[in-house]
Amino acid sequence: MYRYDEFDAEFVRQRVAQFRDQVHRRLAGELTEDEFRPLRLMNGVYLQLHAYMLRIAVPYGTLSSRQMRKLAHIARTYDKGYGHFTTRQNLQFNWPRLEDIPDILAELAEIEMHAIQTSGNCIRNVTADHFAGATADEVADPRPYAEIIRQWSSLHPEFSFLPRKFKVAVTAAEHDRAAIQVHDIGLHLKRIAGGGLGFAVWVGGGQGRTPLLAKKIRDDLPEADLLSYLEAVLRVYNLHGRRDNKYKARIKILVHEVGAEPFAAEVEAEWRRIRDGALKLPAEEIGRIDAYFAPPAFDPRPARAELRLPDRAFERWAARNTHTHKQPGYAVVTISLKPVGGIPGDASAAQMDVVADLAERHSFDEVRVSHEQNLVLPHVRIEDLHAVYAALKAAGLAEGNAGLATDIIACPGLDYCALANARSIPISQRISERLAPRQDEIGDLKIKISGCINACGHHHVGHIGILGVEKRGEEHYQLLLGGSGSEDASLAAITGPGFGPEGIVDAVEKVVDTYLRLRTDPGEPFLAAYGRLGPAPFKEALYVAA
Amino acid sequence: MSKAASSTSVLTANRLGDGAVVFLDYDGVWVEQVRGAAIARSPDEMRALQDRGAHDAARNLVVEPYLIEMQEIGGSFVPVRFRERVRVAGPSILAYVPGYTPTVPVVRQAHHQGEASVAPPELVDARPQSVAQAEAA
Repeated sequence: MYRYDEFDAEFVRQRVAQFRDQVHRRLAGELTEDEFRPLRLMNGVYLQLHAYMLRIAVPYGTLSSRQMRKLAHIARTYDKGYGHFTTRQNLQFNWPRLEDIPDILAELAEIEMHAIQTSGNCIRNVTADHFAGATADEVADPRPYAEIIRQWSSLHPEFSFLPRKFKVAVTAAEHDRAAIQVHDIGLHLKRIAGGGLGFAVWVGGGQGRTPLLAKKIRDDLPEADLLSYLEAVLRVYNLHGRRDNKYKARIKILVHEVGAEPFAAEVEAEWRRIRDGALKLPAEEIGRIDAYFAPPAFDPRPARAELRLPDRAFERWAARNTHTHKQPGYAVVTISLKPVGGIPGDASAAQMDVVADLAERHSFDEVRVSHEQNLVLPHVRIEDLHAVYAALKAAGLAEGNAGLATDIIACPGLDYCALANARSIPISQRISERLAPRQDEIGDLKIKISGCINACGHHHVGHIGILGVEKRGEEHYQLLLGGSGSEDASLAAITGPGFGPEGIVDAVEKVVDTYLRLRTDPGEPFLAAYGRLGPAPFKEALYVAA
Repeated sequence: MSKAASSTSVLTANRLGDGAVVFLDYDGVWVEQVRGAAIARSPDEMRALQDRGAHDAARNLVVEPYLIEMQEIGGSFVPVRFRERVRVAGPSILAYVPGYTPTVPVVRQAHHQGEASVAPPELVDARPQSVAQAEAA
């Protein structure tokens, strides 16, 4: 893992002291809310529907055991005993007192964490494939590049007041688990001509009220040119992005209105001007950062030929919640934060401690946060899987549902969020309870729920997406079908008239029933069936059939 | 601040120090239960609440005060919009939160200095006549 150098540590320490003074002045009446709001947002502090909320950055979703334990400590000491892992691989506390937040940030600084740039019109926390550095299907660990981008973008003077927020995601696998095509910039690390590492660069994706898929504007960017090229993209956006209308201010609107080719041409022109300047990445510097992410000292003993399967529940969990590791004898373990009928992404302080202990004992001290609101132990010996499972089961964390219909993404929705129009969590709970008995039969299915048009619950890229709206003062839900955030990215389409809170659960079940009835065989995925059949039979089931 | 509602309204805000949802009562005190909130029934009364909210926001007692439109159902006042019903009642899912531990609210308003020299706008006593008369008696 990356460790702070002296500059990082001093920078974060100073920032805590600065914010402590700002909070003190706010509480003393020396700063008005209008003056204070941008300062608190720069430090990840929102005012939500019921209380303040603190959003803590988890760079590229990677945590150490020590960091996870500190988050548990903060949940116990300053909040209400739990935290919420988000679709941007961050952690949110829902109930901190403003007067306590400087102390929380000071505690975070002790373990090399902060909340800087988790809000505001700046480059946000860089996200990455949550299996990075472990999965067998990547060309290299993408996190060193995410860390390089983090360092470049932290307090970047030119990009601290962009037209709107800016999100970057990185993957190094052909199977895209980082949803790069719905980010402002998506980077795909790959082998390029000549055999070296480089990037395909996707620009202008995003969800929100105007969902658009990114356009690939370069397919062969050498790794040494990563920062200069990103700087060129950001400069073009900063120059031309709209500042008169926040709903048209994201880079996706600019790329869409200008056109991908003219946009790329302007980026290339700027890039040619600066590519051999200070941002050129020397191989030694890439190597220096890369060393922080060196593979752990894996046990070279060959794995036993056959994994003992002591019980059916374990067998099912292992089949769903483990992924092929690049190191023989090891597995990547997904810890589901989606108990049937539970709250997606929530974990108690005690559960965080359990995960920290397991990571320390069985996963080389590493935990990952996935954008699907689960946790990951990236490096677990196959022989240790049952012990890990048993410990997770005791902590209520052994739901074997990764990728199934109950592994639902849901934003906090109206239960917490000041922007939301409808609740997301209770809908996810009811759908989870309804589909749980049949989830193995249904197979892979991504259901994603947002409580407002801002789409934090990624409903545009759900196989089944749900958008909560307000209709005559009450909750109402639109249903969307056919989205994907993966390498086959597509945007879901609204089926037709929406549903009330009860009706939407029935509607999802009707869609699932239709899929089960019409799929060619159990091996035909939902998206393939939807692509083959089109929306008609689903609409008929929803709106015509009695 | 939201536009004045057409019927009855209460004034809500978040307390500055801890962010808790609060409502202005008839004595000009910010309380955590909507049950004690002052109810405005006319544009003048709503303006009085709003003026008091702006004053207390300027004194750094509360943040972002706004009116919630209420309706009377079965003798009780409840918010018209579902959003505000959730704000009044709190998150609907706390029973399912792993490890949830309700903490005792800490009132630290005394720490906030504000502009104490400015007199607060007077509140119109908009309590139902029967309540006001009973208290006067």
